[in-house]
Amino acid sequence: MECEPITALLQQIADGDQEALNRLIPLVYGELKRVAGGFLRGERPAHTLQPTALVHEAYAKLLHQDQRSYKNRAHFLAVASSLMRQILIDHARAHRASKRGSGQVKVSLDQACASAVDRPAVMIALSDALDALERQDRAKARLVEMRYFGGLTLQESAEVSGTSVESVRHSLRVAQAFLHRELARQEDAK
Amino acid sequence: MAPGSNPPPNSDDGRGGELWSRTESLFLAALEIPENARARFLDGACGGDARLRAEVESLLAFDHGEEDLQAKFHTAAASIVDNDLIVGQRAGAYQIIDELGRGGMGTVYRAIRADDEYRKQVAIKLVNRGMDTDATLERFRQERQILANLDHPYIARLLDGGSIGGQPFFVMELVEGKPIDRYCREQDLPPEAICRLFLRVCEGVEHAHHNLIVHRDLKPGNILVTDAGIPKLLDFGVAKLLTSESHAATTLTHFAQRQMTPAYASPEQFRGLPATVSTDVYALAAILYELLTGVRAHQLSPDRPDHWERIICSDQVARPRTANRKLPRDLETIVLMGLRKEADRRYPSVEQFAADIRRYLERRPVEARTDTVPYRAARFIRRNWLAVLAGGAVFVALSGGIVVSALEVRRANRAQGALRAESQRTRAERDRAVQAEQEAEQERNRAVAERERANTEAGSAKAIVEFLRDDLLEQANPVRQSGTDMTVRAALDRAAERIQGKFADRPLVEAAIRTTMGESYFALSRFTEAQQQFQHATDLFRTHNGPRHRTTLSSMTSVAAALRAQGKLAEAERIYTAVLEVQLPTLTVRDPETLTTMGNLAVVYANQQKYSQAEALNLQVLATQRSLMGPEHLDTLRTMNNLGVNYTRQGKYDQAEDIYRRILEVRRRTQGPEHPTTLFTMTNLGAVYVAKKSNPDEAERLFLDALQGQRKILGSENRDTMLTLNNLGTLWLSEGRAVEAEKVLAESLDLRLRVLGDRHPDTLTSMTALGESLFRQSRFAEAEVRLRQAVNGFEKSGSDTWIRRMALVFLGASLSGQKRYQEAEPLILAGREGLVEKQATISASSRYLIDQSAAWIADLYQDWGKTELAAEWRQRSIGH
Repeated sequence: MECEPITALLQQIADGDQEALNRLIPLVYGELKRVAGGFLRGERPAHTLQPTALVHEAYAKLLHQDQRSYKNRAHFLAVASSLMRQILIDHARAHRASKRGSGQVKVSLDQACASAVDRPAVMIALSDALDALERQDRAKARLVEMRYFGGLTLQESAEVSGTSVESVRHSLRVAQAFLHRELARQEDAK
Repeated sequence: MAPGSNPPPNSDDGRGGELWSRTESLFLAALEIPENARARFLDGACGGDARLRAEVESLLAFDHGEEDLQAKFHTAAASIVDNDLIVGQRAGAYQIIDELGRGGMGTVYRAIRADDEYRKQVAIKLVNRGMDTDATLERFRQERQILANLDHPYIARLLDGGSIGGQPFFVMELVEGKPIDRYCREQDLPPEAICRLFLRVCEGVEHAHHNLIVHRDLKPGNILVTDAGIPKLLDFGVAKLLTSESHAATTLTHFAQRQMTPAYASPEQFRGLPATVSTDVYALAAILYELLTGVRAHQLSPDRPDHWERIICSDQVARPRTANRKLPRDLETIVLMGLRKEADRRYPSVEQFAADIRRYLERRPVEARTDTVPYRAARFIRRNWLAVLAGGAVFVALSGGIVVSALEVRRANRAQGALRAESQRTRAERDRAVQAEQEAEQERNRAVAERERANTEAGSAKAIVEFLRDDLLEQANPVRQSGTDMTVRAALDRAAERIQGKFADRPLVEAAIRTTMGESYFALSRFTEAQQQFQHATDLFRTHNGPRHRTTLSSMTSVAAALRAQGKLAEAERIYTAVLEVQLPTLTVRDPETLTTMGNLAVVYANQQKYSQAEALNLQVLATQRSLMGPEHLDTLRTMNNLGVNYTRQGKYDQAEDIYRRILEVRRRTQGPEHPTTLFTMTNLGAVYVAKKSNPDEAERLFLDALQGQRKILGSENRDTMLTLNNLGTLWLSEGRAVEAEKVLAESLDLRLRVLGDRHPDTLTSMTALGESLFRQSRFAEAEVRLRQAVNGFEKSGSDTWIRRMALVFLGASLSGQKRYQEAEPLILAGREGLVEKQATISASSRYLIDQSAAWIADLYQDWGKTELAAEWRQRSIGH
């Protein structure tokens, strides 16, 4: 069963072992692909599934046990969200590198769906903006990470960060304005 | 605030943390304050801290809400996961290369046909992971079927289909292009180029409509433009087959109805009502709006979805020119016409939408009309009845064609724009100066009108609009009234009952509503009811604003207009006179309202055959205008035209000819040889020649030249063009050229039937003239059909002019020609009697009919064998 090493790795990460993160990523991503692939092959009952739900599903499979058994659930969720972000960014970068070298491409978030949108670039731009937010306000960056990458609801985010839903909502609003501004700056800089 | 104008505050700056936390709390506080009050709030809250303030303001500028960022992020995330799973896989003969786009249900990938030696690139659409429900799959199959039915250069083509792992996919032409909004922005296209590109988009949509397919999700992202400037329509994923009635189709429609893009959704689509071609017209107009202005027609905030319905279904769309001052007015009108809330008031088809844009590009007058509050109330009205209310004198040209002066002004406004380009090339500097002055004048007038409207509406607009919407229009709403046939008339009647006592504390609001209702009744030709509402409004204005206030006087002229329309000319005259008694001493005679009242009074005089009084009044107005505005001012020319009409009616043909010649000379010089009013004057001058029975060659040349210009500038379905056609036919008739006359009269009738309907006096005039041309060719049976139709039409319309009697005479003569004497006798006798009665109004060229009809009656009795009566009528035919 894979859950044992993964749980252990997560615990090591929580204890500050950065090396553990590097070992964990391929494991998590492999599982994520397996889960997603099941949908593609029609092995799962057909139902609407959002990307966040997919992420949840992958974690549930990975951990194979009740998350509440962790000592510090908040820490776990933060780590898991951060992990997911890292996985997605790695793949976005790899994908871009394989496709067009390492050059920066201007990305507009307004680009419409039906045209060829450089989604890996969107992902990278968002992550860069999130880095800027993290330098400014670490707590808000974590919050966005949990919402976006961990797929937590507002309620869950509030529980994890020990505040009210209203306060989470406010923080997100500030964070998002910051991110939008940061994305506009990135674009201008190119 | 420009992004990037401030460096991001850095946390290792000594006070960075403090600055950030203050920024954060001020940002949140400012969000609670209405936008227009934020600056004042920040003045106080930031004190002199410029950096803090800049920081807060820049954050506020980027407050776009949560939804869109998170959604974009999730789409990107899903795409990255998918990418690893799907890219590189085979779908039938195709190898997937990368993702092109992603929608709610499906994703489009770039692929190549692996076994194709040319390795042609294609687009493959797959159902999204987890979205493969029965309903989605059925939609997917339907989209494929719809695409298979479409074959058009501006629609992405279906190439192939198949399934992978049990999931269906289809293969389309790969379009390498940019969304149309981005394309226009990057190419920095001027409005005209945008219009030309947009016309191609319309062609594609038209093709779909012709195949009974409604797209239902038109938006910039679904219209890609290639580097060659070719647009391609994509994504018929929620398109609907207008004919599909099967059970599956019904449930699918239900499912797909919820799929739309609110920013481009019409009110009916947003409310989940069935989509029609009108839905696509709306979306196209919303796209054109955005392309021309750079902003969206509906500003939908992602975190206030609870406001969307109000914004889409009730809020007035901001005028495009508020976002782009340089946008031509006609284009604005066209776009707004496509964006009307009520589907039945938009362009009825994409073709007609496109045709109006083409008219704009060709510098011809467009058909779109500005939407006004009173106009909204009278939404079923197609004609320019407001012009009738606005007053101004009536021009008569030959056989009863009537044009209202305000129309002429409006037409001139439009035509001026239309002729601008030409004038820049061909006309002398001086002409341009004249034109500029005229435009400036119009601009001033518009500004005055605008201000005035703002003043009168400011306090009461809301109440008025609410009343009209809730008590009037809602009842006439076909949706609300499903099943029962609620006419506008009935809605108005009910509203008229409900208004009583509803505004006891706001009499001026009531007056404004009654005025609007009066106008609506007027537009429906319910002149008695209109008069009542106007009268009520007048009483209210008089009590609360005073008897000499301009609102009172203006309302009185509306009463007079309603009276005039009922033929109560004496009463109308009394009111105009009373208004003038107030206006003349208090306002300067130059005041346009005073001059308008005088002009209206002159018309009332003329219609009561008080020609000398009309003439005197017109001369007075003319003298004022000549000295104050100049001899070549548009208003001066208009009064001269009215005077010309007056002279024509009086039979003073030489004076009429003289005045029309002068007008024509000025207009040719100042407005150009192809200006609509120049062409119109040519028709009037020609009509004088016909009435005078002189210069037939000159008349023919004038008509033919005018016709050529009118067809080019105004199009065939224009009242002026149709009038000239009719006049030309009448001229040829009088010259005995019945065969040629028949041809143009048939065309004139055909157009008038289409444009004006079968009861309009102009239509009936053409019908009578066509009947006459057939009669002149001894084609009595055919003549009978037309003339009977005309006589019945006059009967139904209640119009009683000498032309109606003339139709009776010709009908009787046509029956007589078929030896149906018994039927013919009463008709021709009644006809002749009427002609004698209305002798004074008959144009000189047609007076011969009085003797002629007596001769025909004599012939009838002769052929019938009633020799005594024949002899008696023969006497009359000579002795008259």
